[in-house]
Amino acid sequence: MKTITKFALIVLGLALGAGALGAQPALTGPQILQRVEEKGGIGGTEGDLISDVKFEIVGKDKKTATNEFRFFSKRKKGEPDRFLVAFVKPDDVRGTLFLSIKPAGKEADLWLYLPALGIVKQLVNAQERKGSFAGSNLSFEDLGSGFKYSEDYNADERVAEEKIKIGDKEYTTYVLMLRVKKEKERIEDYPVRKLWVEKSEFVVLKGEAYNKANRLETVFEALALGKFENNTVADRVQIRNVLDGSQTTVGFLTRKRPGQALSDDLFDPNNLKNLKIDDLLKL
Amino acid sequence: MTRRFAAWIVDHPFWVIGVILSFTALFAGAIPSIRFEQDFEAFLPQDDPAVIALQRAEERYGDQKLFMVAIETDDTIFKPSTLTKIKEMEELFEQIPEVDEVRGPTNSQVIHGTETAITISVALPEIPTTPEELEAYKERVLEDRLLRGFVISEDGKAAGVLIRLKPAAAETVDVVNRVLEIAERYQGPERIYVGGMPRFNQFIAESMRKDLTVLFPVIALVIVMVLYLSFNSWRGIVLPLATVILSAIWEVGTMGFLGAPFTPFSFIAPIVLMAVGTAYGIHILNKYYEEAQNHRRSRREILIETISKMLSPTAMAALTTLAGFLALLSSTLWPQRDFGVYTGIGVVYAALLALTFIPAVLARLPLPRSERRSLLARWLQGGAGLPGLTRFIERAPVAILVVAALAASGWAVGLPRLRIETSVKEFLGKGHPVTEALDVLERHFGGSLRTAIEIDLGMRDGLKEPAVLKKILALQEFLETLPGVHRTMSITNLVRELHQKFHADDPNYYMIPDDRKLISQLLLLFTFQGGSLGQMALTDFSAGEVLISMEWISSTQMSKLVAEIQKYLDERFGPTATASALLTSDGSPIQIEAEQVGTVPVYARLMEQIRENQIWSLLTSVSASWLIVSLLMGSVIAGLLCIVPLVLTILTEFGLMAYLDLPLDMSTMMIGSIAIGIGIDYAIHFIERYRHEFAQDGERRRALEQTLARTGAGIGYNALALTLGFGVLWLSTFKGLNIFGSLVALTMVVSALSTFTVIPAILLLWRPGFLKNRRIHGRPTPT
Repeated sequence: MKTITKFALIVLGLALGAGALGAQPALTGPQILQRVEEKGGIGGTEGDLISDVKFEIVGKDKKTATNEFRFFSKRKKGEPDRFLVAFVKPDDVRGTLFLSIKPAGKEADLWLYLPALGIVKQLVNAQERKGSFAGSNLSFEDLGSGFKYSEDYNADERVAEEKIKIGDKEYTTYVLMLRVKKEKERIEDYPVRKLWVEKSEFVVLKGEAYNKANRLETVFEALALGKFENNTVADRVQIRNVLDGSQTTVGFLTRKRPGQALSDDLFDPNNLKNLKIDDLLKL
Repeated sequence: MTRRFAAWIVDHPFWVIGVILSFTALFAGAIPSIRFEQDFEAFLPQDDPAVIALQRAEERYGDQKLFMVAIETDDTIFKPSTLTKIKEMEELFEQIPEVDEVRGPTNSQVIHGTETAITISVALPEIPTTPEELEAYKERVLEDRLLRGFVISEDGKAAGVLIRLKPAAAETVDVVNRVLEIAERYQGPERIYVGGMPRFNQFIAESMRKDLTVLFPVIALVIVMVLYLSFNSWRGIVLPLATVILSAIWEVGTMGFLGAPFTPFSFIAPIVLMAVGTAYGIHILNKYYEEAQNHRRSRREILIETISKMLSPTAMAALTTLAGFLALLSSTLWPQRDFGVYTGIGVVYAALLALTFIPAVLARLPLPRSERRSLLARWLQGGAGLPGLTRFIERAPVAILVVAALAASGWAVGLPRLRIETSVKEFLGKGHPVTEALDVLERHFGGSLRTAIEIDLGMRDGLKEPAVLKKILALQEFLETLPGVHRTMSITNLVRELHQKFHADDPNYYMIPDDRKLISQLLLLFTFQGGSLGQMALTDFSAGEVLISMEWISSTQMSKLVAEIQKYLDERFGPTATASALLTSDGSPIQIEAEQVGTVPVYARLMEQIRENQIWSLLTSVSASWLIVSLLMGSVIAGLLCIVPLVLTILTEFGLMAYLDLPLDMSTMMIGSIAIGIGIDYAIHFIERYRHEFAQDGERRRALEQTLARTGAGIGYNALALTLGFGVLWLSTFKGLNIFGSLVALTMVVSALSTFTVIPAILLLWRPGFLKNRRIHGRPTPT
């Protein structure tokens, strides 16, 4: 399955992102992109966050697979972003853990714990963000750490405006064109991306990615929006590969702030084998 | 009635020519819409189980055909320049919209395991610049069981880039052309080959187009030559030639109107028609010149006489030829049926046009001033020609029959040795780029052909059950013992590889774990890191394919292979197989189904059908020809007599093929029907004339001399036209068609010789009853 897409991930992050920023008149493309990136990755905003997420994956063979996870994220200024994924369903992989620690400006370090073997392994992925999260159209590393579009792309100065309808409600969006930087052409699958950014809170509602043959390959769409801590967030998003027909629908079942700060033990690679899924679900 | 028809044509030449030209314009308009169909799986009935299985597999897993670009070097591919080429080609192939997946030595996934870490990455993200980096890359890929022998040869001298097309890719010929263009750009010093079924199909399509453009003018030239040798006059050349060209346009136009494509079976139909159809023009002109020698009659009378006398034998000849071709209707393969039907229709067109167009034009031309005997006519009618042959037959009829019987027995003895099979390599010939590519793929990557077995559990995650995986592994081990099979690949290879890598690359762990959860978690690890399961498993792990890489073996071997695999599947996976009683980890029974779904079962099925069809089409065409001749001549014996040369011809043809070890393949299999359809014409013309001459005075020797002198020349011209006409197929790009052309040409010679010798010998020794029943008056004189 062709993997995706940085923009989809940041959008996911934005779906949880907090801190509404007031819309400003006559913003340029790079300025809008900066606002978008200030929202962070899937780990969400600053602080600790726990989310229960369901993935419905439809392969290009039209068969479906469903996975449920609990995400733990810890973001603090000046410290690496930390992100733990605990597999809840299906039963065969229940208790499997993935840990991501991403120092600012560096690639994330990843660890895997397989309960069936009781072994922790560091995952080294030279493919750079191309990993497919649980066989979905999402990449694990990006999901964990988030990333910056501006590292790989330049946004066009001029932006158009368009209206997008989600459910019954219509949203006004900036249409942002991103073009890959010369030095990133070799590693980036999508030379051109297009983002529809909601004007008032800079939430990305839709995205398109065009491949090297200049054909639309991947489409991201927010299917349902909700509120978290007074900010607009996407409750359901869909990432679709229009060329092979595969798609992943991500539903956020719950989002919550933990009653007390998440322990650093949760994000310690040496402690992964001591974490029990039932305990994690009680948090 | 006959005379009224003839008179109308002669009295309304402009009408006749005008109507014919109008129809020609109409038919010509439909020709550009004809498409080319070269995909062999499309030739089988679409409800054939093998086709249904293949189509379902393509829907579920994507394209099932092996399509590979091989890069061969003299030393090693582990050089920056070569690796750069490979990487660039991989990227360019990926950009072709119809391409689903590209897997090669630089973009394949490599799994690497140590005590503390697991790495799953693309094999070569950046081109190495230092010897150390090169060495590290070489070690990485050559140690990987999922790459070594699949995309990198064991000796490191060749690399393979596998290209998987999207199932919906309608026009694979264009895709292959683009791949060929890219490969050509990077050619040298490395040798780059493009091989596999799509390349083979593209070659067939291109060759059909090329052959048509080359063969048409060449056969026209051959016909001109034969007509010049036969008639030595402009009208003798132009009129029969125009007739066959017009009939070929009508035939192809009919195909266009009815939406019939050109296939490797049917694209030679217009070429065959031009060779066959010339006969009608030849016989009519031959008669016209004969009648024109009597100058006491007007041009109108001569033409009416010619048409009246030629209508019956021409119709009879056309009908028997039509019957021969229509015998192919018994085939279950529509391309063979198409060939039979459209060539048959073309024959009717050719006969109709010869009876109308030629007299209509002659009606506007002055009578020939005097007989200008051609070179061939002078030779045929000279002492060494037909008169000499007559004397020989009169002297030794018994010897002729004995020799014919001995020859027939000799050929018949060889028949059991006749191979009935199709080999792509034999069809294309050695040294052909497509054949060379197949050889390279077989030499370095264990096969040029891919087929598959689908394992369907009918339950989510069924492929993660250890018992299932072990059963699949046993199947793979069995498959790899079969001749022609080089290697297999399935999810078991991946699970074993992951298991080993997760245990610090310890080879002792290259095995299927007994724990279902561990298998699930290993596979999760793989997919998490961007690993693609491709055809090994569906998204829900309810089913997957065992891929088999094999040589492009002959059709007989393929059929045998398919049968052996099926036997194993029936025994181990069938519903009644005790060995199939598996349990899941939690004790539930597993329903496991295994089915051959790849291209090989389809190919084997195609060959089986062709083989069955051959016997039926031979029997049908012989019976139909005998029946038609018997009915038209009013004698069963006459019908049998006409078949004698055919039997001799078929025995000679198949016997010779057996002794020369030429296989009866998809092209040569149609020879039987063609030989019968065309060859019987000689006998019909001969016996009709002999019957007429014999009825004059009951004198056998005189009847024979007259028949050979008059009809013999026409048969001679006809046989020459057909022999040289089919000989044109020597220029075809297909070696199979070269052989086909030669054999049909031989058929025409043997058929004519048998007619000239065996039938007269029989008639000299025996006076069959049908000769006595003949009423001379009121029947037209045959040519």
